[in-house]
Amino acid sequence: MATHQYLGGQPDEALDRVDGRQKVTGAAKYSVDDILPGLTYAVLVESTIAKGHIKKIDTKKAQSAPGVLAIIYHGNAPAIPGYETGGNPAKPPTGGEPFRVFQNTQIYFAGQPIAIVIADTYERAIYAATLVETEYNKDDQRTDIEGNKDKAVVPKGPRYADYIRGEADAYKNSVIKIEAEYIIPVEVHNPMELHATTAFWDGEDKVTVFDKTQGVKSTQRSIMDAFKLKEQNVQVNTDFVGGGFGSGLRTWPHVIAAVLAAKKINKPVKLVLTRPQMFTMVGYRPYSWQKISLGATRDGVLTGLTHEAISETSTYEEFTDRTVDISKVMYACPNVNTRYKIVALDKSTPTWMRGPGEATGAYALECAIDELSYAVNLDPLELRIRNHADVDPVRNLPWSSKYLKECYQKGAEAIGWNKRNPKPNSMQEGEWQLGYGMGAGNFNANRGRATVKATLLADGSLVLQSAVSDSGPGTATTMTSIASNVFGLSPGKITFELGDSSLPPGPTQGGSTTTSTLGSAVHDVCVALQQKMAELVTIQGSLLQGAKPENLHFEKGYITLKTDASKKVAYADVVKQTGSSQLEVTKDSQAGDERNKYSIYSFAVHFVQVQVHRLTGVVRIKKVVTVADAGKIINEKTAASQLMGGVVSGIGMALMEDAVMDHRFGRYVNNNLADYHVPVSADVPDIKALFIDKPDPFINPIGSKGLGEIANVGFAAAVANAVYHATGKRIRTLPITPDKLLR
Amino acid sequence: MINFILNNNEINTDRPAGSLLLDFIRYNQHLMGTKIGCREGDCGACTVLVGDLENGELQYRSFTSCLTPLGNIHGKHVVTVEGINMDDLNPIQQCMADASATQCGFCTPGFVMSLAGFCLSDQDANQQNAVAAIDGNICRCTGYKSIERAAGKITELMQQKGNQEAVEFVTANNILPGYFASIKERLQKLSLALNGELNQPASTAQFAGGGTDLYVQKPEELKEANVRFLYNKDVLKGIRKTGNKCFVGPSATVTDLQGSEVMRQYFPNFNKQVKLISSTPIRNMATIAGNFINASPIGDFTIFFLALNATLVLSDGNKTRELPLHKLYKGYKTLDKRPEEFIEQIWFELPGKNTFFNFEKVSKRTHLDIASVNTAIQLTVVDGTITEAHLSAGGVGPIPKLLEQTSEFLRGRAVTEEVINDAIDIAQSEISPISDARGTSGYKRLLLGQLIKAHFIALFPHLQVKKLLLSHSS
Ligand SMILES: Cc1cc2nc3c(=O)[nH]c(=O)nc-3n(C[C@H](O)[C@H](O)[C@H](O)COP(=O)(O)OP(=O)(O)OC[C@H]3O[C@@H](n4cnc5c(N)ncnc54)[C@H](O)[C@@H]3O)c2cc1C
Ligand code: FES
Ligand code: FES
Repeated sequence: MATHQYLGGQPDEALDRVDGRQKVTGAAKYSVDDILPGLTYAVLVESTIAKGHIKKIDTKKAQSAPGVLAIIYHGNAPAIPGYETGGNPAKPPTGGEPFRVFQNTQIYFAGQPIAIVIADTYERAIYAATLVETEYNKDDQRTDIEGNKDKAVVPKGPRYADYIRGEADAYKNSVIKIEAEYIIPVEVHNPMELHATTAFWDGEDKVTVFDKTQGVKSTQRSIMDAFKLKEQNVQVNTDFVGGGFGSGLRTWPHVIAAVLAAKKINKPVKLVLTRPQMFTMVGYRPYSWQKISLGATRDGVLTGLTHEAISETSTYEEFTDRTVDISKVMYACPNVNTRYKIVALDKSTPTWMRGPGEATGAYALECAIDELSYAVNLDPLELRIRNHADVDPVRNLPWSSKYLKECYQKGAEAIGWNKRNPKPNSMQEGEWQLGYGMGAGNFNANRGRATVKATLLADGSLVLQSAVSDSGPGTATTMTSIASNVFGLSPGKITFELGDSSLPPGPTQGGSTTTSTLGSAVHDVCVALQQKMAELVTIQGSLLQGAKPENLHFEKGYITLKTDASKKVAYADVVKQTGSSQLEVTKDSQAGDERNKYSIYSFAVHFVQVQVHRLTGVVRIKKVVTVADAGKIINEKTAASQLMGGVVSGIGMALMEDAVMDHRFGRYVNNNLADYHVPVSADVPDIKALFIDKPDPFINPIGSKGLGEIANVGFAAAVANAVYHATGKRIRTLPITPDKLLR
Repeated sequence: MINFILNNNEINTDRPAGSLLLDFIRYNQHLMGTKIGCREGDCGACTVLVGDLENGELQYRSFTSCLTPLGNIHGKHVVTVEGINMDDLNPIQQCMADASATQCGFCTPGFVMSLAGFCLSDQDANQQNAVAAIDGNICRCTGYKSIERAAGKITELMQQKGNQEAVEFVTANNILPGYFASIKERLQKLSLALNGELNQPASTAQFAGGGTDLYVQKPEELKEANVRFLYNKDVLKGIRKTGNKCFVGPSATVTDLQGSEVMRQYFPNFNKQVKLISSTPIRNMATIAGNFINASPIGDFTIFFLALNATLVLSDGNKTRELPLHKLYKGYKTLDKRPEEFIEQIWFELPGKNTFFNFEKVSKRTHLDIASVNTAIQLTVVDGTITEAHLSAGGVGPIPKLLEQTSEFLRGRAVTEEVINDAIDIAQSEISPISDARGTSGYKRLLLGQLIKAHFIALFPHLQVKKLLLSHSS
């Protein structure tokens, strides 16, 4: 369990991270850092072919290598009784038949784990893994969407059925028509921390697992399901998580493999993925082909919008995302239709990556809107305002709150939008061409279910607990802020405990919902605790006897009367009055029916200034302004950091990230951080992260919508549009590398 | 036996000299603040500082411990994040915490160490140098801006340093722990006790320089191998000028070149050009000979020294011979060198007042990336006529190449747009690029042409270049 306590600073200013100290001193413990007595080390052996069957695995040589304790593969693996997989069974993340590690000879993708070698040291396990000999019956694989689009199918379920509002393909009859195809290659989350799992069993039916996961409860659930164990017998811990961006949203096969290995040898086993394995074993943003067709009047009013997308999944699971959904809600257009399909390929299963479908879809939509702006000779900003959706056009419901127009205005001012010469290829700075671009986006702001336990101790300090993990945004910090405000206690007296599956159930950290979901539960538990305290201090014989609970005021660790501030009781004294050492309240909290009355979204706009080198096509982003309407901002520091982080993933998506597969073998050729490029500091310009910071009145008691994903939705389009403005060249295949501009 | 000081402790270990410092730190010493993100020098999560006596002065440099064999830190001071922790947060850590420069925090110890390296270096305390110190650290969460803000605050702290020695200043001002003040003396003692170098195996062994290529290519093999460490050999280091010749020790690092008076004087743009080459810790480790022998077709320093028309002195321990650098390469990674031969010396003629040098590199990611194409040129121009020319190009064939015909063509000609365009045409006939992840062969051809133009634009700013700039646009 990770304990996060705020150490210092003024209660009223934005809190510094409660765990900053552990992080800057190297004391923060990640799942790879756990060293247990008697620890053994596991290494995965991977399939070298992408499709076929294992004919034979020969482990003899490896088995006799020094230090080897066991080698598990399909020939000797214990059965995994309930291979149900992935997260809450009521809500499987991905359809289809989950991959069952070591249970049969089938090969679905290159890099698939086919055996696990356990040895007394890491070096020996690595060495022995190289001695495992495998023969295959190889089939021809298909790993490229291009050339296989005809095999795309509409995923099962109503969510993915073709959507039609008004008339389908209405753009065809419009005066102004834009049709364009866009491609985003495979992107890989590549959090800085490698995925790692350490597991040990206590007897036949009890296991403890240290894992890198964005959801300790969902990992617990998956292990319970797989090994048919009771909830109280599966303990999952994750103290610190070194980033996730979606890769930690599922319990992947390697986790089950590590747990299985620990069971087999009855010793603690640690498995750490290598960087190349991070490309094949923990998901990726799927390759996507998209086509946007727009119809409009001469003055830029949208009359038709058609969004088609084809994306990829594995042959064993059906991964889907909301690529086309943004086109349904972003603009007021009477005629909209979407078609979303997936192709099953001989690759591992993709998963959500920061701003999952929305970021993918927004790239295409927001580029196409830019193309339209030139076709109708209108400022792209003006075009967007003209087509602004005043209500949710899909459900015909009001927005719970929407300040997108304010975002446009604030952003345009900050970047100096009116200084740009609207003509493409018109602005120059020496050897560089200069361009401005914009892109907007939205993201569904959800609220899930969470339980938080609050314990007020005899010294007046408060402990909050929930089984969530914090993969970076600063959950404990934000929760401490919320509790401090609601409960009326300085942050230094509040501790937030998380990362432990035995705590009251919390949500999985993903989809920008943690603050909304968990923050609401923190709010509710603090209010409930206050109610309990109010009862206690107002009953006969107690400190504020006879006072009406609604007349009490909670601030800075004291309860006072609203009418008479001189009458006050310290929180600590309320505990003492009960005669016990603490006061506890546990509260389960979830959304009401507000979603039936309103559509609840976060919004953002990105403005970008780029330079393109005339001789070499090198693109430099010079300036970024991002403005978000994410409801109330709880902590400006962590929120700005979160927004900038999202922008930088957008820079990666726009300019460099591209996992290149050699389709002859179905293997990635750049599966390392030298060749798979993520932005480094020198690539990142001045970024202004701005907020509207107005609470949403309906989403939840705290008024916060989500932030993590919106930071990346529409950003790549802003860059592509700026490159077009700079050069007059429309690059429709990401990333925009120099070779694409220099032709 | 490897002896060194780890943080505040003397270490004596019989772990193999070829095994990695990172694994020693984490799995032998259980210092878990040093993180692993890639094991290939790309991410900086494993950054440590290495202190060494150079001409009696204590110098600290950042290293990626994942590529550092124990053999290379023999007799030195290694500092991990645990070694800079103090009772309270030290000011570097405090600045990071105050600026909210951590999100998930996994990259943070690496950044803290790089910034500590900045504080311990003899560079000017300015924001630019502070930010340059973190050029090898990747953060996937923060977007870097908060970290740069922290770097700015740290710079302010360091500005009072003036002419003081860095170690003295940071210990006196409680920026780093007091024990750093005793390190110089302890290293001197250690070096006396060690009485020279590591026991080195016979000459048939595998040579190692900084390890930044070797340990990416074959870490497993090297761990137990018979490695001969050249990195620490003083006789193989140093950059000096004798007459109009410059002698570069093969084990001189890129950082050594950057710091050298001779380079600064004769190649004023060197530091700007080097910014595009790898990262601070890699430059601290990477040796020039290592770059030559690795024989990558796009080795930046190979391209650089090819245009300088450098000569190698090869030795097998008994006999030496001279070989022009461009003659070293016979085919893809095939060298005119016997296994027992090592580079003992590198020399080239320093440019005179009519001689101009330029280096250009384009890669997919502008910074911290291997070139798609790189090229260097050295031209001597007298009265508008090119009298001597050496043009090299990388990424356009199996070996790093001196474009001999193009160079020959340029000799005796005036610098005009026609000549430049003709030179580009000839260059095209000398190269044979292939399509790969860095670009198609067509792109590389086009890019080399553009970079040749860029050379002339950089060297002859008065040239009318409008036509050159536009001539690629369709
Ligand atoms: C993250 C990262 C980024 C990089 N970026 C770049 C870049 O931008 N540009 C670039 O050009 N390179 C880059 N490199 C490659 C590498 O840093 C350079 O090639 C470096 O110069 C190699 O030197 P070294 O001392 O580390 O070589 P080592 O790895 O120690 O050795 C390389 C080879 O040289 C041999 N050798 C070393 N010294 C001698 C000698 N005196 N005599 C004979 N043989 C010798 C070794 O036996 C070995 O075969 C990068 C590497 C990394 C890890
Ligand atoms: S682990 Fe990435 S640089 Fe060493
Ligand atoms: S804070 Fe997560 S990688 Fe930097």
